[in-house]
Amino acid sequence: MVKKKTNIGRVWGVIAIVIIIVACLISLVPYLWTALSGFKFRTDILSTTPKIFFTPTLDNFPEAFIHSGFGKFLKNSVVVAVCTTVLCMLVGVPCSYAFSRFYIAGKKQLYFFFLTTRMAPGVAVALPLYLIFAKIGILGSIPAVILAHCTFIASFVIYVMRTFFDDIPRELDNAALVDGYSEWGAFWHVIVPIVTPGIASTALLSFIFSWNEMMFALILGGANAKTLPAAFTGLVTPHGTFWGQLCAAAFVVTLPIIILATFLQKYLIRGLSMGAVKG
Amino acid sequence: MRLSKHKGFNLWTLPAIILTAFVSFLPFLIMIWNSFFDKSYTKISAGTFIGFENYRTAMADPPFLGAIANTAKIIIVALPIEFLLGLFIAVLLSQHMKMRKFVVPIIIIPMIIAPTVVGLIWGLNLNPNYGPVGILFRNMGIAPEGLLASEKTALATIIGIDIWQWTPFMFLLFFAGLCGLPSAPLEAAAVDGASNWQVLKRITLPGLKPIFVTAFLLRFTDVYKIFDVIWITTVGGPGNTTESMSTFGYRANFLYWHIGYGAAVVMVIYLISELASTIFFNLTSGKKMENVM
Repeated sequence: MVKKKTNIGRVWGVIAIVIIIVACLISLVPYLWTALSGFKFRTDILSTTPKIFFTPTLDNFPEAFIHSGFGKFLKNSVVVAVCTTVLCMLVGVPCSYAFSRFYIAGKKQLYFFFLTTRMAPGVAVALPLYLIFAKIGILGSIPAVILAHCTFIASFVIYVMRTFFDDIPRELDNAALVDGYSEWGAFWHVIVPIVTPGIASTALLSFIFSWNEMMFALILGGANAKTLPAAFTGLVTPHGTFWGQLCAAAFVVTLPIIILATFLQKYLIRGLSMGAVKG
Repeated sequence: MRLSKHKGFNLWTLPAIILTAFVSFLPFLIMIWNSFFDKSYTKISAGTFIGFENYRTAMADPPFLGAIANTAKIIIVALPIEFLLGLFIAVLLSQHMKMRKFVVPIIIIPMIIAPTVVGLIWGLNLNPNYGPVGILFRNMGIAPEGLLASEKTALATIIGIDIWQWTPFMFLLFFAGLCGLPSAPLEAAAVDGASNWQVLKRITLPGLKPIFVTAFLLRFTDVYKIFDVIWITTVGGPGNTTESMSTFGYRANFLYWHIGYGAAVVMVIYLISELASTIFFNLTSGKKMENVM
């Protein structure tokens, strides 16, 4: 009886492992196929019998990044994602600390003010932003894209960082104040060092969100300031002449994110769940 | 406990308030304002006030109603499947913890890469002439012109892509939740000789309930805005079969430049989503909305 049960258990265990591996393959293979196509000659990509083995080429990369302008878009992506992250962290972290700690007149209304901006669909603010940016003359520039990304990333930072600050006992702040630190000093010298993992987690996700965003970059960036993800629009057609270049660019735009996420895995979950799940 | 007293506008919060006011709140107000005017690109500043006329037009506009229906279909079909699949894989993996180191980074690939790349991946893989998956379906006689190009299969394919893209999100949240469950009840159950199924039903799943609510809500507030993948793969076509609320809003605003009408459309989308998530949240928990979002 006991032996039978363990046998069934073992069979289930094997089935479970097979299912997990299949799930991994489903996630990985379509991506891998696309990434590999970035190393294929045109004839191999368009071959009617999909080619797993092929003569690799690096031609698509200079073709995409030097001749087709993806290089400029890549540079835009880096500048936009870095600046958006830094800006949103600089204004967002002190703000969420204040929300976590201080008695602020009108705090509830203020918090609500930040959160309504989260719920609005991107397309809701895109057109008014377009009109505003056109008026002040920054339409189609990198600052326009950075500011647009702040519409959803700033409130994300404020919200998630608050859950990290709320986890830190207030006694620490009070002890620092008793020790003679100013409020700012207590925040900077005592709390910030403790909350560094939270800052890393929030900054990482802010970077990924900005890096991956497409609609704002497409509308507000124009031909000069659009980022890599926005550069793909209109180029994925059934007659796709550019597959090699597109796949090469897709490989380049995804690789840093996959590497970051792999090594900083434990930092992802908290932020992705808006602080609800402590990974 | 010592609490400092601060006015709402102080140096801690002021930069964030100014930034948010400028990039989110002001545009949002402008949009509400615009939605009451008869504005288009040729008369941005000269539109006349027409009250709720744009809203009335929107609610009687078949393509917009179709876009709402399509989005609802995507949500109703994709969300439960993502939820169950994600939970299933998370539970399986929680029993094989040794595998997590290499399984988690691989499984989450679809959700961390740019959505436009997801669109590109499936545009390539589903191509009926040279995409491996597309060829497979063509050989089975399903949509020989391509899954994304056929009116019958395009929306189902978009749903399939969404499931591929976002099941990992559900998985990741549930898996983290499972790892965070206290181990004492599980050990007690094992001592008492409870079966795996009993443990799952009585201890594990109830323990995950708060995460279920969060995951559903976060996914909902994301999927109702679905835009990128559709815009890359089908641009709402063929016909209007894959037009979502966001692609419709985008088209009205940025292709036709119906600024007043587009603003009303976007407002309707916003109100629908606010209403749906508030109802859902009140149904599933006693907490206030702003505590989660």
